[in-house]
Amino acid sequence: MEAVLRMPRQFAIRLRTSPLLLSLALAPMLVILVMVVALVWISFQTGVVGTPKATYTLKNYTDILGDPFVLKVVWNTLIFTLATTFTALALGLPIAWLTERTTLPGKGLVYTIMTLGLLIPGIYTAMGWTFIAHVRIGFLNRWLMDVFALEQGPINIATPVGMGLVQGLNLTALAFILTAQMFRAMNPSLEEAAKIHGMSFVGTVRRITLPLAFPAILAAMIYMLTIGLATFDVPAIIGLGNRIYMLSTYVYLKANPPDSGLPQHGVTAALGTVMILLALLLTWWYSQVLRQGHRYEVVTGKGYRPALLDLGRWSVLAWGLIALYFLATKLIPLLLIAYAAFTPYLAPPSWEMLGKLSLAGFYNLNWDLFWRGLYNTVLLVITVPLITLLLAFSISWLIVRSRSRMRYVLEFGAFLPHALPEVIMAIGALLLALFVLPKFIPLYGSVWLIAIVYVISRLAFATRALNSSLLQIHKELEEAAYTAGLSPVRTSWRILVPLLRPTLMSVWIWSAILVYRELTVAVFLISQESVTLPAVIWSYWFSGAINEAAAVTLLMTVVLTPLILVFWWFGRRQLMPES
Amino acid sequence: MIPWRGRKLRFLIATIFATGLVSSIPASGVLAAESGKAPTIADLVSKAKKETTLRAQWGADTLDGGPGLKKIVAAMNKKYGLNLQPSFTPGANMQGMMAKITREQAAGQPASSDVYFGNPQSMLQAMEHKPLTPIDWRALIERKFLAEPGFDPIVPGDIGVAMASTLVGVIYNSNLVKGSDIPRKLDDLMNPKWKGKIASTPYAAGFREFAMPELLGKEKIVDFVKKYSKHIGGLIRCGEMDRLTSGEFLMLALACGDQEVNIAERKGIPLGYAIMQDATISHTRYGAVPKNSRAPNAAALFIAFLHTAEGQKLMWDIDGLDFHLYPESNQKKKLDAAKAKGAKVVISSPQWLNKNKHYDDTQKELEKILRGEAS
Repeated sequence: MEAVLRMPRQFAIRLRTSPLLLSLALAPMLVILVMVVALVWISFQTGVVGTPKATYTLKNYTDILGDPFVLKVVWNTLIFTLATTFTALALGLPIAWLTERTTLPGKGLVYTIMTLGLLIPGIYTAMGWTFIAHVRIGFLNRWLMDVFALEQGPINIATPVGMGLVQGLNLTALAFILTAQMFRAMNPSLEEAAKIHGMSFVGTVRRITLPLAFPAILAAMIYMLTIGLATFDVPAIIGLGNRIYMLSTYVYLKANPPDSGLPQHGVTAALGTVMILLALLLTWWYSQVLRQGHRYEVVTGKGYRPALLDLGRWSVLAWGLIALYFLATKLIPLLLIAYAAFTPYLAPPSWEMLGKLSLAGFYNLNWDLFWRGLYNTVLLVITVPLITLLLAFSISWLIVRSRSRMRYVLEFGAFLPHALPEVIMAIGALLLALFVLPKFIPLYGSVWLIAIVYVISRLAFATRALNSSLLQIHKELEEAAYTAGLSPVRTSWRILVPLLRPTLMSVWIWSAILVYRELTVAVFLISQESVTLPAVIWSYWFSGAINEAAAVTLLMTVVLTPLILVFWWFGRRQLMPES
Repeated sequence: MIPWRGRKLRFLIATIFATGLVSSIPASGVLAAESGKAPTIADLVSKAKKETTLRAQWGADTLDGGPGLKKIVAAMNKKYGLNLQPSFTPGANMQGMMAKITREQAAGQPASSDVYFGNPQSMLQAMEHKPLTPIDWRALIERKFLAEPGFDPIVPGDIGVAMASTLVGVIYNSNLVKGSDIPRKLDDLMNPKWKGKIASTPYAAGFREFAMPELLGKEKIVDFVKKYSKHIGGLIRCGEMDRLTSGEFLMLALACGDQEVNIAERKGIPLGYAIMQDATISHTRYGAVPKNSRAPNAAALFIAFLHTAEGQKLMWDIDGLDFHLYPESNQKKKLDAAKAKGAKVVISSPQWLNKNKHYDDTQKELEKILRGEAS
């Protein structure tokens, strides 16, 4: 938790004259609170939930806790989450180390590749890997079957471990980003001392580097476990048809039954409540690890110079690993998706099928749906980061500048979305919009319902980034502005916003990218009017129209990637002078 | 007095709320017969002129999804002098969409789909939960149905009308399943060479009807499905033909009907179709108007149009479906051929399903077995 600056009494009094900031800061807290309360409330209901006809009972909890199938789903989720975390760290950590602690050439390119990794939606990798390694149609399996005369493909991604591998590839970029900073800041004096004492490279890594890096690795691991727990896209694309269910897809099926049943909102809410408890537990552990991080502080003042390990000819091998990652997660999936988009019907690649490639799939596409999806996606990409920044700035300013005890409540509230899996926020928002709000605010089916959930889910990240930056700006500048007669809002606009510009840009860009690729929330809240491009892809895929899903994926990549890259380039330019 | 800035803010908030409220209020009620009279086509046309958009949500393959809806609405506009805009969003399966519409109606929200396209099972759900508008379909539809003993195309309570039919069987990848490998009986599906390579549906299509006493009976089907569930590789929805052509699964058994194969044959897509000698069902497709539809008149007109000769031909062209109670029907020829071969054929309808008190429980039991939730 960040330190809080003390302010003169007259300055603190001004806070009370700024109800606008306070309202902006409290509004998202209220939404989160109402969402969680609605979820818990409905978890105790059966019958027509959210109405006076509902019956209050513990049955939803006894049903899920006593159902062996739910236990199997939990077990699958556990294996999937562990496999995800292991894969992401096994790839992301070495690439981060190579980039920050060695003489690897082309580091700028590595950062570009890894940033692209965050840009590409998970649904894209999942679709691509279905074409690569599905037990029957994956070209890798078919090639292995041909070469070794096997009856069945040896690789099966339609298992919790297989899906974890694919999701791990998705999260490798995140693992890289989370750990690269730690390697950059690590003082190499202990490693150098070990070298002088004759310790081998492997011994140094095992006994010095990894123990020093442990808190950051553990924090990254817990962060990814939290994400893995509620991941929807990979389990949905690969798992659903193969009867491999995770908690997220199980919740989805209970809310949108594929069979003859009605939506089981009580059971869904009960599962959501259990998932919140699990995520809160993981988040508490995460915060404990971060708090104890100071025991492992490794940067020691101005004389600090990180020494780089000379890779020599090993650079080729290092780049081989990075190239393999790029091929496996970006290039090959993209090529296979492009192939699927141009085929008249989905069939394994062959000379015969290559002769049938055409633009017919694009010609027959539901363009009205595509434009609606594009419009909503662009609308969200523009508005969500702006609203997130406005709210996060208000919260951060009050947390950092206020002396009120209320700031602790704000800080906890701002961090709470981090503990709420997106799938649960989506369910909470759905139930709220369906059964609690309709008489007051007609949000059901509106793109603004999706926007609200997106804003809340990005608040934790935005607030923490702004807290750190605000702490570095001395209050004297604001005091001078007040003395000159500026209001708190004008002071923020004229003094703080220009100084915070690099952080604001960075938060804006990353929020935009996350909105662009987001699927989980959109899938739960999809309607005629609020459909987004990732949700269009999902709708096609889930309806079995894989060619159309591939065509829209390709169009989405082509249309929006340059836009996001411009954002990214602009943001980097803004950041460069300060970095 | 409120300061100008405050007034502007309040005006803005009020405008946003008012816009939201107005856009969320369903236009239902317009369709309901005025002064007790059933609506006529002319009534619907006149009222549909005020309904600018016809929103539809169903499976991306049903009625050829967005492109299909566009063609049907264009033909409707031409025939009735309308200017309706089609708006299609791929949605859940028929039961899933019925559940969604029911949920939205319970919550007082407008329906996601202005017009509903469903099957006997979903209409049975609708008979219980009542989310659909009763309309005098017999008066509204201008053509006369052929007589079919034991089958009434109008859903009890006038909440829907049958408009297409299709025969239940097995769809297979005709490049990978050939000659004597093509299944003729349910037991052929249990051939060890298919283990892990064939798919079924999450809603037990076909099996739920085969379990009825008039066909193969519950005991036999539950026993078969228990073994079959361990034999299949996964569950896919009817219409997910890409998963057969890709070779991910070699067969879908049992499928909901043969319409995809009718289309595939015209396009040279390698799909084949086989009816089981054990029995077959003529699955019926129904049209209906949700009570919370935002364009109920256009929706009713859409259904009435699909009953015209022009509508039936269009439906056959875009989705391989038409209604066997019309003399020119292609499905009628197929049904007659199946009957001539001596196959046990039942026309599925919500009335027929409702006759068996245990139908719902049986379906749920079969679904659980197929999902792997019960052994």
